[in-house]
Amino acid sequence: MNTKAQAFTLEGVASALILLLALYTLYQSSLVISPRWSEAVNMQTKIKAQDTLKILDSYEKVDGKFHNDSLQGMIVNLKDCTIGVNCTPNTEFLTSLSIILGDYDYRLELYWVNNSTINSAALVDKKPSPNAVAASRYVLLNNSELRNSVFYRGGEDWKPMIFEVRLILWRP
Amino acid sequence: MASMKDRGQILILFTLVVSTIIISISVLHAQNILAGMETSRTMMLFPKEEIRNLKDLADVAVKKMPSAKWQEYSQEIYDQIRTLYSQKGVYGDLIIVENGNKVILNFVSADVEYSETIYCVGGECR
Repeated sequence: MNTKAQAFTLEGVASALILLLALYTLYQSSLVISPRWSEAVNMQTKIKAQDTLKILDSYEKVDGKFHNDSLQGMIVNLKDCTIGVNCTPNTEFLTSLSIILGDYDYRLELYWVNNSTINSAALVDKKPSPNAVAASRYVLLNNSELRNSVFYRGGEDWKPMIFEVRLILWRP
Repeated sequence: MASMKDRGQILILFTLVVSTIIISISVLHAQNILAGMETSRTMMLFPKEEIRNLKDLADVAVKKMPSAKWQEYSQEIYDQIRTLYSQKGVYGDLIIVENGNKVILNFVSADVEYSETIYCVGGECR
């Protein structure tokens, strides 16, 4: 038995183990980012939802009326929403929304305050998938602007009413 | 085996040196990725859209506010915004002061506490 050869073998094994440990550390460190990619996809969907609501939130026309495909025009044209029936946005609004959203699927909800309590209505009632994200936009309308709407409360024209339009978006 | 001239010992010594370099670089690499991801995650999770919504709402409120009734108008808006934000588990409000020349905006969530005073002149806020 050559003791030198045995020592070389042992040292070779020790070197291999050290190198293996180093490579394992390198491999572990590069795995850190992989579970976080789903968040980036969710953020893209959230930004899409926020941008969509911002695009649809437009000021009134020169004649003081709202565009039918704006959030304001959609709210003003809602019928019987407070009792939960016929609470569907107008066709122009739904067409514009579908064009902007493309192949995304969505649910649309409306919230407003009446006598210190929150009322809500599902304008487009679809069941979201588990990876759905939500974005909100707030619309302020005075009582005078709601005159032909189901939300008209009578009384003074200046009284404000704030609506939260919530868009829930997901990939089908 | 006792002498440093033996090739085996030099081999293990160089392996140690190379391994140390690889480990140091990989730790640095991992730290950079972690720092970058955490920074972008924090930025993504900051409720900038909620705060932007409040700012836009302040702008619209000041434009639509009747100057003779600004106090009642401010109270109505304050109550409604607070109620609507409360259902999301956060606090948000708008307080119109000084006849609509100043709007105070507050937003508080579990992670962020934000307050801003917006100055409005002639219905334009900035």
